[in-house]
Amino acid sequence: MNLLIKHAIILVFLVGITAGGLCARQTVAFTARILSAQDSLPLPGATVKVASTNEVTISDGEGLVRITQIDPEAMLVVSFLGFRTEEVVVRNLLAVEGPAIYLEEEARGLDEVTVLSTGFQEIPKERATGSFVQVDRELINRKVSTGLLDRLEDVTPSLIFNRGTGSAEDPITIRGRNTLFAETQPLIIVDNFPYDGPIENINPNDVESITVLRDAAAASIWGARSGNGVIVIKTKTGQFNVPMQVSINSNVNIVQKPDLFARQQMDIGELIEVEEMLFLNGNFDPWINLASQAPLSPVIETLLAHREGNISETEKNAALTRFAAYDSRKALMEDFYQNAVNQQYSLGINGGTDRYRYSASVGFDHNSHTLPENWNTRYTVSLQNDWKSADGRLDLGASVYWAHSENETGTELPTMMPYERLRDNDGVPLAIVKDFNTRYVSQLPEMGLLNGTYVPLREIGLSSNLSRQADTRLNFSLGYKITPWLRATARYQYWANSRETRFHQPAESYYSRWLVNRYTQTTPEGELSYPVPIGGILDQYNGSSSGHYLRGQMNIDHTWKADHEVHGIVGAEVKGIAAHSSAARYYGYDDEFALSLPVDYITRYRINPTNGLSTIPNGDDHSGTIDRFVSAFTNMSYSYKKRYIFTASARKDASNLFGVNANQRAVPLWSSGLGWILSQEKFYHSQLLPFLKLRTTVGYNGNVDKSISAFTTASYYITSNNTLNPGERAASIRNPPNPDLRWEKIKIWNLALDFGFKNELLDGSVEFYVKNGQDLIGDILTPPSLGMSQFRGNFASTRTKGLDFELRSSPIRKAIRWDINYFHSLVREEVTEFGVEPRATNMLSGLLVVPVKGNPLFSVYSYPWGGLDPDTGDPRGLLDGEPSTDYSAIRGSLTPENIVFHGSARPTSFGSFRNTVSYKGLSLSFNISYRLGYYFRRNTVDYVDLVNGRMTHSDYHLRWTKPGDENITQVPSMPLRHNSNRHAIYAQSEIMVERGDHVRLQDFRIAYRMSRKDFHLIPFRSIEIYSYVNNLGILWKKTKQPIDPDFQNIPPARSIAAGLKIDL
Amino acid sequence: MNKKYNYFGIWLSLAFLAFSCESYLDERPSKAIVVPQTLEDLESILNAVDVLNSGDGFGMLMSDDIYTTDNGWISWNEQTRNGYLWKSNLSNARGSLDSWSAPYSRIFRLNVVLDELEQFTPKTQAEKMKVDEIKATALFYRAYQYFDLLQLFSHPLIGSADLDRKAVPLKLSSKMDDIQGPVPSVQIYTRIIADLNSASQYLPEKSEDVLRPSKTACFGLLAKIYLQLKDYPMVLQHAEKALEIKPELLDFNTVEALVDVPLSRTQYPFPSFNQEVVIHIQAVSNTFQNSALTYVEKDIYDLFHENDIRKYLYFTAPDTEGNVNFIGHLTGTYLVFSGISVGELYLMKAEALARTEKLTEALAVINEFLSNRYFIDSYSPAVIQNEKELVEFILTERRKELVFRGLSRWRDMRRFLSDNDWEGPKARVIEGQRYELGKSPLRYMLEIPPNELELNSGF
Repeated sequence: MNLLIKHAIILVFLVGITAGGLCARQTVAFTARILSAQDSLPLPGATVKVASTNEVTISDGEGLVRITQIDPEAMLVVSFLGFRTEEVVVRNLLAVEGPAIYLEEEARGLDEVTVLSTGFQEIPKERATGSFVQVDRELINRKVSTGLLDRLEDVTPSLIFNRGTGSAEDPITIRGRNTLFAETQPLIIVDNFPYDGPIENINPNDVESITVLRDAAAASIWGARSGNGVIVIKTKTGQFNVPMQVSINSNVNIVQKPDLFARQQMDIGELIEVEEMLFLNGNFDPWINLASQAPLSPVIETLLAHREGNISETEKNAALTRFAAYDSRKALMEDFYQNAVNQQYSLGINGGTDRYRYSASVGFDHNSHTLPENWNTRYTVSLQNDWKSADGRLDLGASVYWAHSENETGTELPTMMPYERLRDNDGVPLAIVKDFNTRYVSQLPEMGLLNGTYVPLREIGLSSNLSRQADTRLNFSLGYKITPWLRATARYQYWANSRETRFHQPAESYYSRWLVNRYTQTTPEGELSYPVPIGGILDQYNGSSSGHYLRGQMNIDHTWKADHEVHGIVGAEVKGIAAHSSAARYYGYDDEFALSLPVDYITRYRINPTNGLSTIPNGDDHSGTIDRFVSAFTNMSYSYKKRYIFTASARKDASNLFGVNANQRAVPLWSSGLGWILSQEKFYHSQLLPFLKLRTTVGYNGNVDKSISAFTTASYYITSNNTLNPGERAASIRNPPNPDLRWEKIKIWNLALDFGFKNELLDGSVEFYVKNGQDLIGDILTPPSLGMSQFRGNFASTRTKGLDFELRSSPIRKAIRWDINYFHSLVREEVTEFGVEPRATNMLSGLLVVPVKGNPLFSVYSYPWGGLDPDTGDPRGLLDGEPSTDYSAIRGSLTPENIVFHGSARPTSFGSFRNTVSYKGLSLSFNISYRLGYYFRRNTVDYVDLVNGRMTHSDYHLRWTKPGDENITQVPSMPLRHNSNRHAIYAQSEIMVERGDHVRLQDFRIAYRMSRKDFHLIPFRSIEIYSYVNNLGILWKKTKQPIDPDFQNIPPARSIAAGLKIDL
Repeated sequence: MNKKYNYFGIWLSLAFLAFSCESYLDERPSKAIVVPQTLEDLESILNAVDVLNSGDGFGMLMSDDIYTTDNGWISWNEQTRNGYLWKSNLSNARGSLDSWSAPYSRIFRLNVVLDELEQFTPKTQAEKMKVDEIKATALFYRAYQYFDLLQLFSHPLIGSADLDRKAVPLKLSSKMDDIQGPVPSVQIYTRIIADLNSASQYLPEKSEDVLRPSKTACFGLLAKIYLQLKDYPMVLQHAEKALEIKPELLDFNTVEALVDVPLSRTQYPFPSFNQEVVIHIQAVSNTFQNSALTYVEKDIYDLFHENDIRKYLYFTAPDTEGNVNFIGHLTGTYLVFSGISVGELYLMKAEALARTEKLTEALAVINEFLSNRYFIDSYSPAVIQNEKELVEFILTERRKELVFRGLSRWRDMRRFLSDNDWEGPKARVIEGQRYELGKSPLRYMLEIPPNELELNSGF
């Protein structure tokens, strides 16, 4: 009892002192937690504003908000986008233990996330000066796809997925391309470290958020590899003090088979007529008796058989009539292609106690491809754990992420003449023409060789080209709070990736038979021997990479006198990756018994049918690479009165990049930025626009080109099987010396305005930037007598100017809710310096990257068009301003100045407009995307192809055939001879260039969500059923041509998905 | 380095302290890539024989060895078509010409080797010998490439003044800032003769492997060069030196394929690396060389006596129009031989003897040579007393033996320009139009491609 009284007295005493203190200073300190009312999850990045002073504090990663001095009577306005704003009086908060402010979720939250991740630190958006885009979990999960990066398309300002020529080399561009030949792709960070494996290994279901770093202040912390922007991926973690949550997501996505009929193609019967005409003209004579037994089309073979008297006129005509009735596209669509089916299943569990949190997941994907018997699967398993000590000073993290994938691509699409068939009328699979003409193939059996026919339907599933991959990441982190404002962290990652490819082509497969035949030796007595033994061929590849990444970092978070705040990091990191691989080939392989036979790799054999000399191809190959980086970095921000922000960052990288002079190995890069939250100013009283922030940054990002070096380098190789000295060690010169070699640098200036209207009716940002690529690796032409006609060095520079505009709005926020997300990105690219005077013919070809000073790197150029010749229907170009058919002279007279420059070949502006309408559990969302301000060259009849007997475009039917036609058509007459200049003058002329501008209804998503709150009977916390349709079609396009400007041949496949998401 | 890797933690912390631990960053990024410095590196560069044992494969188009029909001509690309019609600007749309840039790119590789050798200090006698041999090999290859360049881009040597005409750049270092303008032919000839003389000291007498340069190959190439300079005593001297080491002709009676004649277009009768071969160099492959419609000029085929084995081993059987394709490449494949053969040494020796009025000896040489080309016992030795007649006889044999040998005939055509008896090649008729080359020396050289002229300030 005494004890109790004692305690009571002490308590009263303490309360008295506290109260006295309060009276004396008129202020209190408090800490509160901002939580979601629905699931009690902390809300990091919530805004807590003191109503009287407009002072703003942001909740930290665990939803905690700390205010050191405040009037207990003050009213706090707590807001978090997507949640209803709450007003609380401080005193009421102090009355309870562990004060918490619960925010009610609005019907559907807007996609605002305010904590930005750079991979080094988490920065509240308010404190940032740099340019970031964040894509949150909900947006990532909006699309249905196996891959992760696909999900950024059309939802990320500044980021575009390139299409068209050259896009395979740089699928993604962030704010324009600022390099010519060096690495073009953004750096990808997964859980704080650069990810060196294939991004396909990351399961999108495991991802919490993706942050795209766009300017120098955001990205220069990643130094020499940040020049193309950085994509920071954060996987899901658990939460402290949250009970276990289980979520299941599963979906099936059906992708339509390609529509081969979309390609404009000339009439098959007319192609046969053309072949016949050409044959009679003697065009095919040089091809008939080639030593290589080059293939001839079935029509030509028929005509040849007739000419040589092997078949009668009637038989010939009957055959040609039959051919005209076939269509290989139909055969391929019916018997080869199938709809692809992609299945995805994932299970995630997370939760935590007060000192431990965890997140675990398993995922499984299986995709069957549009080509039969081809498929891929992926298994992912992850486990993340974090512990912290009772006093919160020490924390510890350990996680493992494992992915295993398999990819089977053994079945190939056959290349067919348009009138070839896959099966005959009785359904029996047929052979088609492949490497040799049918006369030679039919002789093979009597020569004692193996059957050499290629029957596509029999090849389906016959060969297996299976690659398996395992990817493991282990992450450890250790943090210790040395003082309240200083924290030390060490992070370590071990990454290992191993890949095995096993390509088995059994004895019956076409390739194995082809290779056996090629090397079969016949003695004068007619005896056969098989240097390549009859049997299967097994190609095996094994590669593995492993890397160690270690980073030590000090975090400083210090506030003094309430007005001064410093946040920063200083650290160093080291990274080392070693990779090696080996490949081997086995002949005479019998998979049933796992046996192969030895072969003679030394003897040079006479090969069929050319009698050339060659040893048996040897599949041995090895490689070993080592990639090392050592870096030091810092990033500091200072803010005054929470309204003036200054940031600075610096980084120095050094690598084992080959042959760079030691003093140029390291590259220092820096950035600095200023931010000003106008709306915090005393003079600012706008009720309409309660949030306004201005920020600007400048700095340098870097880029590396690993292919060149300061010294002369040579690469070793083993001479190939058809050389004069097969199987010997030799070396070739890779590059001449370049002692002045430097790393590429990109200077970026960014100016941005963030704004928020009243009641979150509308908020967004406008950013303007200029990127100057300096010391870019480019070519200069050199006289060939130097030994090479081009020399690569730091000769180029580029400039990109652009604007990114982003807007979010919720015009209706009643029972029915309507959300709009809109972005528009403008990019103006220009090559400002390039050593090589461009050649007009290269600029016109459209196939090469031809940097032209003053124009975008990817541009469309064309020949001035002089109309058709009224007498012959020949295309005319312009020679000295006059229409002319002197094609060589026209080509000779071309200069970069007298050809037509249309504009950029890549969109100069693009954007998307996403609408989401929801009512109770039902939500509908669709995304309209557009690409504007660019040009493309449309396909047309290619007489070079046609004269060689190949299928061409349906424009053939519009061709000039008689005088007067020139008034109604621009398609030239049919020539009898291969004349590539004639073709170029038409196909690359200005009349073929079209505007690419178009608007697409990209996708549509419908979902219905039931939560236990509303439906008490369901056994889950919530369940969502959704359906997603992708590639719905074009809404508007500028060109009058009946084609998709971005996909001229085959439109993008439409896909339809259905899925189920359950939270337990 | 692997061991170090195991002590990851230790050196990692060191790296942290020192920021840039130099040796950590000295690791080569790829095992296959080196800065060529060691003798093994340099030998490996020279072991890329498919690059270095290559001669020009385009210029032969302009020689009168070749004949094609309209259909054959049409199937070629534009450069080839123009070459066949003896146009002198044969550059492609990008202003470049392989016959120009390819030899210089080989010369660059050789200059890299030669430059690196300069830096190398041999430590042992064995190393010293190795250095000398590598150097000699590189010098031989470089001389061969310059000799090809001169035959295509320099003015034919008619009068002695022609030697002083500016020809092509003589690039002797691998430095990229060392741009050379054209120098007089004489300077290049002098240089390659000196290089070959120096190389011949360090090369083996004859190499086991005919892909590698040898003394014999050096002397053979020198004889060919002197032949072009019409210095017959020197031709004789070097042909004899070569033949001293390697005198054995291949007796065509022993060629196995003889049982199969007539041969088809894919039967190449001569084994690769056969006894005839002094050094195996092949012309860069070009589609016109192997087209079914690329024929041997009929006049040449008609020169062969029916007892001459070459008639059956060199050519396919005449088709209905009497046209034949060439299959007798000493490469043993479809690739055109442009190296040096023993037969060629005999022919040079015979010509030099005849031109220096040693008729009896000349006759003996040519008769011995021909007895290896005819069916056994079917050759009756020629008896010619007159110098002019004998030279003509030898030149006819030369024409026959060396048909389809890369630039060989083209070189002879340039050489014969000063010979009043030679009338120049027959006119070519394509699509009804006649094209004549005539004997104007300027038509016997190609224009230097625009990409060189525009960028080389020395021109």
